[in-house]
Amino acid sequence: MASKSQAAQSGQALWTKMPKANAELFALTYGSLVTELVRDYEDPIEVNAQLERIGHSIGVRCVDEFLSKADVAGMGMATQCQNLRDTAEVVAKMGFKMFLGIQAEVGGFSQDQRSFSIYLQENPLSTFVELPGDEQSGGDDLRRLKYSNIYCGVIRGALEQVNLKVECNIVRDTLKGDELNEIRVELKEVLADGAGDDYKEE
Amino acid sequence: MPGCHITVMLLELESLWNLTGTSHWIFQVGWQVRRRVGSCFVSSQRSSELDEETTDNISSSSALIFPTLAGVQFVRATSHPLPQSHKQSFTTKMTVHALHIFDRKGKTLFTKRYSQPGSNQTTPAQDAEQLAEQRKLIFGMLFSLRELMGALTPEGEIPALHSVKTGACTLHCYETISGIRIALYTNNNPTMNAIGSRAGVENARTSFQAALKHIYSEIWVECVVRSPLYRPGDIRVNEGESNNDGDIGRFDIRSTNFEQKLDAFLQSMPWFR
Repeated sequence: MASKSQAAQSGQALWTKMPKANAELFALTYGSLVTELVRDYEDPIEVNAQLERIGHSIGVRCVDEFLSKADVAGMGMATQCQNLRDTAEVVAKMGFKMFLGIQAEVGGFSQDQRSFSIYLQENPLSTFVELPGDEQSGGDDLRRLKYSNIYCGVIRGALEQVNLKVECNIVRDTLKGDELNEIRVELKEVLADGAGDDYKEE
Repeated sequence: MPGCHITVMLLELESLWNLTGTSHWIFQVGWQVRRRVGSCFVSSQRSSELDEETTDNISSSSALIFPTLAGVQFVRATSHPLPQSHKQSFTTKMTVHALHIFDRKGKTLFTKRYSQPGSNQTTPAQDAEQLAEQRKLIFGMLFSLRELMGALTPEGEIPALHSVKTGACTLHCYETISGIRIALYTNNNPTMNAIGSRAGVENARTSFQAALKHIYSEIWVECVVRSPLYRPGDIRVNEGESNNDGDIGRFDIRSTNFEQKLDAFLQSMPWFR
């Protein structure tokens, strides 16, 4: 089915086809977005939630783009995820590669195969970022800020569109001193296809 | 006569199995009575066993349902070549009636009617109502068929509904994993259908599946999903009735150039009149 090298190759091929933007511009734009959010909300937990929501609406759009590109390029892999492991591979190797151009690894599968971790060696969003240290007055609070929480939202939003309800958390963060970034993804439930309320209304 | 119809289909199925010799599922849909997909009878056994069971159900709206996996919708089209003289009659007969796009929940994202199949006396209000009725029925049918496909598909293969062919019209479908369903509603024209579903080769530029795929990836994703105003949950559907206050603030597909691009693309297809 979806072998690792296949996913990586497809990811690479897709990445070359995507239109590119300036990485620094991207990182700085995101940084200013987070700064504004911090100024508005002041509570880092609230900012985390907002970032996750933003990520969710990004994910919902990303998935259509991903599916259309992956199918058209003849890589039928995206249609054949048999289990969560395949999904994880596709998300990490193809999705992250295609949209961000970074290599992401998958691992840490739990016993019941319902959760996994995505490891990012480099995080393009945090290129110029430093979280303030403990000495400053507001520094303590901002240590609770999950700077890259938008990734969690993107993954959640994207997987929701393919009927997988997941919860994502950032477990390790290079901004806080860890050596790599780790996102923990947990499958909550597999949603069933159903005619929703709108259809019944109509 | 419902009985005859089923017999004919059974014979086709049997002969095709003998021809191909594989366990490839070749399916067609036959509606004896145009009704909602409320009750349907499905059988995946060999034709001889079907005989007994189907005779019991002829009185109800029984239908033999066979989704196509290989992309071959017509048994006959594969067995004889296309005579040159028929080429002239293409443009007069084949019409695309309508195109619908649904999301996973059943909400219609886009719908457009290209030609009037029936009378011209209907007023615009009736027209819109007919269209609304049609799309609800189509979605219901697609939804139920999808369930059946899941049950009928052999192990290890992916269920995919390519087309539904009835006595009057054909419905071509394309579905993505994210739940977007594109349905193209055309009338029946054997020669055009042969071009449209050429030999299951997915790269055929003019095949219906390829066209629907193109509509999804090149036109839908490019124009609608990438539009900054797009909100997946909140799409304004009703074309004619802009008086509905609840629609204000919703994303209107007309704000993108999706429709123009779609029209241009469909015009370029040889099977579009």
